[in-house]
Amino acid sequence: MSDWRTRGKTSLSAAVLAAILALPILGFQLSETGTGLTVLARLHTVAWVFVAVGLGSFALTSARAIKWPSIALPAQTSDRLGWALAIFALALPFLPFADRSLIDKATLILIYVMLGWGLNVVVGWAGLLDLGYAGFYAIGAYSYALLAQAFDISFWLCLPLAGLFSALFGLALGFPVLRLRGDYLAIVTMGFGEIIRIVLLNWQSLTGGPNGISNIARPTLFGLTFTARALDGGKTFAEALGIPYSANQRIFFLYFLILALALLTNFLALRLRRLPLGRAWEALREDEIACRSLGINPTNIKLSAFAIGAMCAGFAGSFFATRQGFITPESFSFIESAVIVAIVVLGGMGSQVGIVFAAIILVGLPEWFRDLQNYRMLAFGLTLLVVMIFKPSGLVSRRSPTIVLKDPA
Amino acid sequence: MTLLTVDNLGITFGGLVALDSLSFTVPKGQITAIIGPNGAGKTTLFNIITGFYQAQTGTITLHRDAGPLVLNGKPDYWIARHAGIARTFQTSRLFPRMTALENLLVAQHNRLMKASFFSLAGLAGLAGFKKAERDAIDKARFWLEQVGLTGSANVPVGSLAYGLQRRLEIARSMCADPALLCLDEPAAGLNPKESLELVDLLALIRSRFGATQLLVEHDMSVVMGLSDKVVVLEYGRKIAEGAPQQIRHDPAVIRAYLGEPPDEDIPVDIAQDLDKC
Repeated sequence: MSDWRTRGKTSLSAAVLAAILALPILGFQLSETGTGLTVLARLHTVAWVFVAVGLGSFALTSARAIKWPSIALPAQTSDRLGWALAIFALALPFLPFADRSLIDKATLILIYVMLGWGLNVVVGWAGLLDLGYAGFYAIGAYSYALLAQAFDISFWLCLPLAGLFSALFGLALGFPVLRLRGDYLAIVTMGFGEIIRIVLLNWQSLTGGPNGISNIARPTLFGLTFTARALDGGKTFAEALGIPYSANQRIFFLYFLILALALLTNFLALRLRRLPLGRAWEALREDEIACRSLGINPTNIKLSAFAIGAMCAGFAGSFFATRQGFITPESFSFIESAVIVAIVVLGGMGSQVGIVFAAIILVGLPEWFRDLQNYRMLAFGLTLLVVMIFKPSGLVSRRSPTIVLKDPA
Repeated sequence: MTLLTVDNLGITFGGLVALDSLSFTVPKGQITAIIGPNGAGKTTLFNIITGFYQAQTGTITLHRDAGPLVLNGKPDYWIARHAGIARTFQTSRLFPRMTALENLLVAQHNRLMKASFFSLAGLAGLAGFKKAERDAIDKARFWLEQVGLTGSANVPVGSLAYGLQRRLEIARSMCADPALLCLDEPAAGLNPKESLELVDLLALIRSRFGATQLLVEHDMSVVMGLSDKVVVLEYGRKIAEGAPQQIRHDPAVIRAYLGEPPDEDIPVDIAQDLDKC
């Protein structure tokens, strides 16, 4: 790997292999000519693949040959970085370059940060690979939408109810899968996630099926709405403050709302991690048999992780529903679960700060590359590959102890 | 005074009789060693006592001050929690990415969980929980001192030397305040110096904390130097039981370890070796 000759050989063989594969896949095109079809050779695409893979492989092997300085963050820096990020997030809407689309993207990223933090409890700490997390996200969203429509309850009352409902589902679905570990658990949770989506899709009378639920109530701030004109007897935010109405007010309000929810999730999760329950989660991930021998009932510990993770997804789901104003089962497909798991894994399995960066990379970048249209997912895949090659254990893989003996010597 | 009675215990795996109508008692406050050739059923016995396997016949009874407690049919974590039986494993089972202090705090999970009122009081940061946590840390510090690992309190235990990990595992079991400590080959993989330190540690646990210990061990210097009572197993059956001195000269034990002597007595050099240990 070290000298350029072997690297050149590796790259050449990779390029030849790619070209062979590209020849039948990309090398020919059917085109309509009058009544028949003719086969057009597109050998230049094969040449492009050959050159691109060759150069790419050479660049990659060269980059790996270089001894990169390790950027392992000490625990303190990681903490400080977290605070800096939180302050930046609070200040973001007031910065001069913050326009509507930026705040909208930041809101989306924060939803995934919150989901990542919730799933981190299950996957990163308790070590239970859950591939059906979007199911709980869906339950939160539908709970809010249905409760708000059927009983006309405000967002602030629905939010805890949706969280509670999701947590209950987390318990109910967690219970039968507790004996499973690793791959088997992943497959079964994936199945549960799909079952939830398919039930939502087919329970036409309750959920509206594929048409989803529309006109979901928007959130209010102490009864103040963020609309241009107040609804029957109420007051709008702009009227109350005596400022002119602007559509940005609602966007900014939603941003602060999800920021508050995300920070609350983070606070709860970090606090729990330092309690006996959190240490038991991590101990369970490390060695379940040792946990049993110390009198820890693994069922309770796993269920608590499942329930708390599901609750966070429920909160995020309510927010998603109220932000979109319209939900369908399409929004909660398996790819959502996969993205959230990818965020947790990329972040470093257990690192709260790592998850923020991972969410920015995995959700933010594709948003900015929206102009690339179909090639957007290529950027997504490329990011995953680059991180896996250069930081195989995640962006921030250092584990900070939950408790420290002050004067050990 | 008996702490544990094992009566007529039996278990088979498929056609293999791992334990066959095994009965013995474990005296309170003493060290009882279980020895026997490989495959004699020692670890199986441990796994049954600690609830990891369920016996097919027989009963295991723990004699507490509050009255006898039958352990059959109880799950492993229940036995650890309510009967106070702690164990270590043949290869150490610490939580490798967690620090030594965290390992010892996990051992006190149930007490702390109650004190934190299932995390609610802990989330609110109530004084009662904070005090319980301080006590738990003090206890962990005490046991770290006993095994000489205070300096490594904040180090992930996976990075500690093997001998230290074994000591830490014993410390972790002791943090749970066990009535009975089951040690599965604690000296396996230790060098002679570490073995001696281990003997001192176990003797200290007996003399100072009065903890009853059940010991599976191959290292005869550890067994003979330490135990008050020895139970010898072969093919799942008890072939001898008694004080170490008796066991050493028991013909059945010698046969189990050395095989049937051809015609004459044991060769002189082997007999001498046996006397030495």
